[in-house]
Amino acid sequence: MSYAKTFLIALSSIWAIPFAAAGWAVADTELAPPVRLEDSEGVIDTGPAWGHSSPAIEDLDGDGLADLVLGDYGGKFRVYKNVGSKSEPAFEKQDQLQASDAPAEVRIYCCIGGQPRFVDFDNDGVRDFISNSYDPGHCYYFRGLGDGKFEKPVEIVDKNDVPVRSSPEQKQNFQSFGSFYMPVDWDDDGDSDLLIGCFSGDLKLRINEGDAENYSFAGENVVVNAGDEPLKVSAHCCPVVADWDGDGLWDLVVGSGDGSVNWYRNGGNKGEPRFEKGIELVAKHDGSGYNLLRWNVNELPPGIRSQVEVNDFNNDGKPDLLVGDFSTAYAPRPDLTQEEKDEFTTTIEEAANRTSGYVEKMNKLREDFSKRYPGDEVYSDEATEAWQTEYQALRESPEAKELEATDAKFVDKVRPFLAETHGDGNESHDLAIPHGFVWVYLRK
Amino acid sequence: MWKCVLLCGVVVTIVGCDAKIETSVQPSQPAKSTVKPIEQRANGTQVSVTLRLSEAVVRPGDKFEVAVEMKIAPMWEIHPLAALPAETATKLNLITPEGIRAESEWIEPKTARSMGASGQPVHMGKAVFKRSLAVDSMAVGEHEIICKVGYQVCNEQQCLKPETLTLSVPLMVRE
Repeated sequence: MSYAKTFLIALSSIWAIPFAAAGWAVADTELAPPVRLEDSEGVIDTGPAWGHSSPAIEDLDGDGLADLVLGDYGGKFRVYKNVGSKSEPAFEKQDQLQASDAPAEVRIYCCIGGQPRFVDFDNDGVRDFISNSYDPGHCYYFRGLGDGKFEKPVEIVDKNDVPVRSSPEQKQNFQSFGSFYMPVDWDDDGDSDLLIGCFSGDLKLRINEGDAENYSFAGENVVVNAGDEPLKVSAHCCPVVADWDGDGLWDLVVGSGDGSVNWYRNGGNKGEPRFEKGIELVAKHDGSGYNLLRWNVNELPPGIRSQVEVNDFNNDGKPDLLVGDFSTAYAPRPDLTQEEKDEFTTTIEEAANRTSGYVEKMNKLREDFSKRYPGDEVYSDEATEAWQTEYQALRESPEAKELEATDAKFVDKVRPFLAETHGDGNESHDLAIPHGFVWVYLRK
Repeated sequence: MWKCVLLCGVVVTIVGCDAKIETSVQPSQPAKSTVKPIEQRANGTQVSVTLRLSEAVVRPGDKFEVAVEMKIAPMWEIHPLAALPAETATKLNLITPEGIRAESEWIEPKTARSMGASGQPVHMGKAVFKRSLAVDSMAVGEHEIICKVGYQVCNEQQCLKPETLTLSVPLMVRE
């Protein structure tokens, strides 16, 4: 089923539509089972770019229909134009979003997708967008020129000319890698402050001490609490703001590395937000997210590393949830006999449940090194020399040989059952196909 | 850029690494001996790279070996030569003087399984990449073997920025 054909799409993003003032009960936040977004070619899948779909809904061309802008692991942003109508929306894949005369791009080579967030950042009446990056993990501002055009990105810096980032004073140059940014007028003074979702799972705030036309960000972050404790998800904290319960105050909806999505209700006041403990909207993915087995790609469940957007997708006055994800899955041949299916399933399940003596020993070795060489001592010559010796001994152990042999047998046995593989190599890693879907969870 | 003139007359140049470089120097060796490893470690980073030749002095018709040894800090790993996306793969770009011919592709050590959830193939501990070279007729005197080494280091949680180093070692050609 395609939502593009089934549901209405709101005219504008969450920034343009104030939700119903009356609000609705918290108990009404249950979500319908998720459905993957499609375009005219089928299910939208950022798998070829190594997934990590990063959705944003925005009426890019001002035709009154909300389009989809989709970031991914490749660091660019694909436009899916809504070529349907308000009542019968349909997405059509377009070019990549442009910044000046080149594709808009942020640097990503690990773990997350480029997450666009649209907002009139300089209060000139034209929508802009900002995006995160993996490296250096800073925030990039693409000033809007209208008609879906944008200027080259500018790195957002604070009043001290230091990039706005999760760690203002870094001891390591990778401390801020993999951050997420969400604009919000936290203190209700008419300008955009920035929420910073950290790779570690924490959430921080950088206040804009300037004004709506000229930003001037504070030099320090403020920790955001949920209840009496700092808000924290498992990892890859991806926040979006939306009035989820319709009480007139914006709340936080936060994606996480484990695939879960949580809602943090704003129980404060306008200009003084205060968040309650999180309520789970989407459960975490059951497993690692890698090497899933389904007979049909349509049966795949939502994966890990949820990147979220909130939008009144079916135009019923209630905000719905969009979740981008990542997973890898085997692609078995469709013509397998029942006997072959049984054999394939058994092989995969046995591999998944196999306890590896090598992995156990490796985990012990790592634990031991973490204790023996705490902090940066792990980079000392002594630690490296000790690691060479002890790791090499592990590589030559019977457990390592057994793992290698088992892995080779597994690849030989499984490959004939597969219709396609990610790589041509002889490692189990080469078998499963990467995916990145956009899931729509409608409010019941 | 660091430029270190070693006791044996070897010039080692490293470009593209922000970290502090330490170089351990071996005493000069008699002609036709094996060149001792020239250790260079970027303190505070996760990988040290050594470019090494099997022979310091060669003659036309000789064959010798070049090796790139990568020592990887505990609990970190690097990607193999064929890893995808290509930006993450280890890259070895050998630049030889005219008259030196590569007789093989890079021979890569066996990979291990990543400590991350992906289980992708990686190198941990020490990885030595080797390549065979042959000496055709060429001018006598001192030449230089250069190797540009690119790699990305990861741990279980995250990957760091891909690094590029340029290493060079001298090669004496005699009649």
